[in-house]
Amino acid sequence: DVIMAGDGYLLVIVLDVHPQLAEQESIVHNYLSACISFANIHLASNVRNTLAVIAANHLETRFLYPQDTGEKVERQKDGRLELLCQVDESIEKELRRMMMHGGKAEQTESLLSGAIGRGLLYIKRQETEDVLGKKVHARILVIKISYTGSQYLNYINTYLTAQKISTPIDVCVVGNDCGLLQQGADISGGYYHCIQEVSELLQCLILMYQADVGTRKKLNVPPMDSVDYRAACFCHRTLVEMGNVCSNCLSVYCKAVPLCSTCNVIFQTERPLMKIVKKKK
Amino acid sequence: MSGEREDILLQVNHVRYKKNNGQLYLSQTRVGWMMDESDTFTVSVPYNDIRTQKISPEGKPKVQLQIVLHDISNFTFHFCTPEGRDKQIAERNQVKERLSQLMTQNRRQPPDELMEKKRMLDENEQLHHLYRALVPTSIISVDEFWKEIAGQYKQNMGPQQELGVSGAFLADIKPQTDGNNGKVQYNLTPEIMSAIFKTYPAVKKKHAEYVPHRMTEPEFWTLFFQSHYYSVHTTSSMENVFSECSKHDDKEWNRDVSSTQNDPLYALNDIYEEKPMSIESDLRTSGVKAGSNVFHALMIKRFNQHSLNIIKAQTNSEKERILDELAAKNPNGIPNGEAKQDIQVHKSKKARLEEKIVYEDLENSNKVETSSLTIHQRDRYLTGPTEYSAIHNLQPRQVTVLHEQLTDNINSWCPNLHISQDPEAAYRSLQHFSEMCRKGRSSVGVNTGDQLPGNLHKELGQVYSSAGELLRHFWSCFPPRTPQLQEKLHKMHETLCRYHNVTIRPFQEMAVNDYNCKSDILDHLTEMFQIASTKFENWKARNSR
Repeated sequence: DVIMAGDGYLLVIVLDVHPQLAEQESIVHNYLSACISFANIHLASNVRNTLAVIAANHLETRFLYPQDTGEKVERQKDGRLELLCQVDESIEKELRRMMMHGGKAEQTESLLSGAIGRGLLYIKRQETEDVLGKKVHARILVIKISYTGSQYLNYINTYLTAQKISTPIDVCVVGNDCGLLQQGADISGGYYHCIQEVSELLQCLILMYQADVGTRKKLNVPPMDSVDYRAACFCHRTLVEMGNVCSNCLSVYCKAVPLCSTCNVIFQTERPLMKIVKKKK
Repeated sequence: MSGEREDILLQVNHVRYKKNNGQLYLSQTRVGWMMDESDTFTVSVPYNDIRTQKISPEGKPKVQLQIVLHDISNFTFHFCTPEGRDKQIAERNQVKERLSQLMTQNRRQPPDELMEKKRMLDENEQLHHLYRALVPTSIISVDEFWKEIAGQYKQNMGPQQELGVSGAFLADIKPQTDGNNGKVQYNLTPEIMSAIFKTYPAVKKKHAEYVPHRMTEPEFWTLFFQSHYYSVHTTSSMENVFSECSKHDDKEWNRDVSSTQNDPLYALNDIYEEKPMSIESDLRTSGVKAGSNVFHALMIKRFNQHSLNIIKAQTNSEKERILDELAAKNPNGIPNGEAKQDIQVHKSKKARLEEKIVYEDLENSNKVETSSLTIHQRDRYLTGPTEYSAIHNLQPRQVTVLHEQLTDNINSWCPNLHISQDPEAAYRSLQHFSEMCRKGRSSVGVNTGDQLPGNLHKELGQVYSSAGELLRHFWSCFPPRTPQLQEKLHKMHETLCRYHNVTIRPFQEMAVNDYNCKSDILDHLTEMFQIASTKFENWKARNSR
């Protein structure tokens, strides 16, 4: 892809606002401020940059910015650039609204895969709606703080789609390593980093995720660790190096089983050969 | 010249060259002329250099033979036996025939093989590199090279293309008129003859019938040049050899014309009509119809026939070649009937148009039947092969509680972006990442292929490919069950050692000294060679027991 001087980048931030955030009281404000500051930095660095922010928790995903309410940009209030002011206010307002929606859900995981999917659709829509039909240079940044485990298929779908439309998915994980998202970053050509302290979040984002794809090639980036792509067997959920796969539903088993418990397909096993009886002299 | 022991096949005395008396010698590979009272050859020409030879015409007083070389220089020899003119002519003819025999002999042998080899080298750049890398440095002898390595490349070569017939070949036979007698002389070479045979298969048939029993070659060709093929005024009153041919040609011509006229895609019916709206000054297909002046029409028809036959000659020869290949592939097979040739059933215009716009293999293929997948444990399927970790697995109740807490927190949030990053934490983060960058940088050296300067990169690639080829031949000898394989194994081992010394070590030294590469640039390659030689040693030790 040739990126013309003056082209802007579209950054889609997928923000994880899972209630797990609230486990430590002090970090909520820090976390949110860091993300909003980073959004400001992105918009301020190039006048043609555009932004979208999607938040996800265990109940729903929601676009925090942009909102299609048709509101006009308000006049300058406190010396900030009007656009940035609008972004901040929109994010804050929508987030509060999102929190108001209580409710119960069966899954306890954050709906990040859905948010990434919506982000990809937004990118595609921007491309279709562009008057000149230019290719939109976009990337997705996922900021995650909670635990994911049970939405493998959804995630993989988004990764492969992103790879297909050349959209790198960068991932910044706070807390524990997440193998699934690391795979995603590797597949789509993005970066993956894991930090321990929320207080370091903004600095990390500026240092590692601010540069766009073209510039990254010229930076002396630390080499990525090799990604662990091993599959886990369906019976014990432990990672295996060699396994048996059902040819019908692709379930992985650590040892040979006669029946696939996911799709109830019986496997044909080899019958032992009969020994040839030697002729007696 | 005198070093080679060549047998003298023919010697003629009293041959003058540049006004000096001497003798003419014909040997196996060259023709030479030596002056009287001399020991060395003044003229010595190998047969390969000779392009043609010419003899002086019958009426001339001097009996001469001229040899023309590829670089246009020529040598003229004058036969002047004191025994009389007839003897001179006889000697000269003898020399001429022998010379043409020896020329064709010497010409035929090398070119085919050499041309083939040259073609292989031209077509395969990789083979060319291998050749240059292995043969001049005498790592492999030339024969071995062609036997072992080139063998596989031969199959991939495409067929050699035939030279087509030149459009002006008949015009190039520039006849020379002898001002005195009104006789015209035509120079016919075998190439022109074969061109005529290719273009006019009817003439070829006649030639086979008539020559040599009914008439001699010169007579046949004289008649040819007098016939309608070459001159307009034919001696049409006589029942001539070629009048049959002219009838045959006319029939074929009419067939071709009608097939073009009747082709539904060409709308040729109204090219002679007066267009209703045409203005005086517009270009018109000239009012004179093609047939009005008989003489011109005949000439034009002959030219057209000639051109069409030349084009047909090429397609026919290809058809023949394909048939030959098929016949060669299954010698016992029953040949199919001959393809429908001349009389084509004209497909309707619609069919022809459809042919041009529809490709069958681009059409939608028929839908394949799909069967649906029934899953009995959805969770498993959707979760996929992911690891299970017990940490941080929250219960729904906990989540709800936390959610409420979060809501309260955000409700009471007053965003203040000025304090979004604590400087101490920022500094720590920068340190951490710089550390990672530093660690990452040290492992990458000038070793990696894409950081080498251009020509070194290419040379490295070539070294790798030649070494790889040799290693491949070496490893293909295992297990050496037959004596030939064992012999080849020994040879390959020697070749590998030689290659190592001649090419790899100097390359490594050059890379390190001249280009400042790390010294382990060829480590991988040397390791492969080590493994090969250990394997060979082990095998030798085991087998000699």
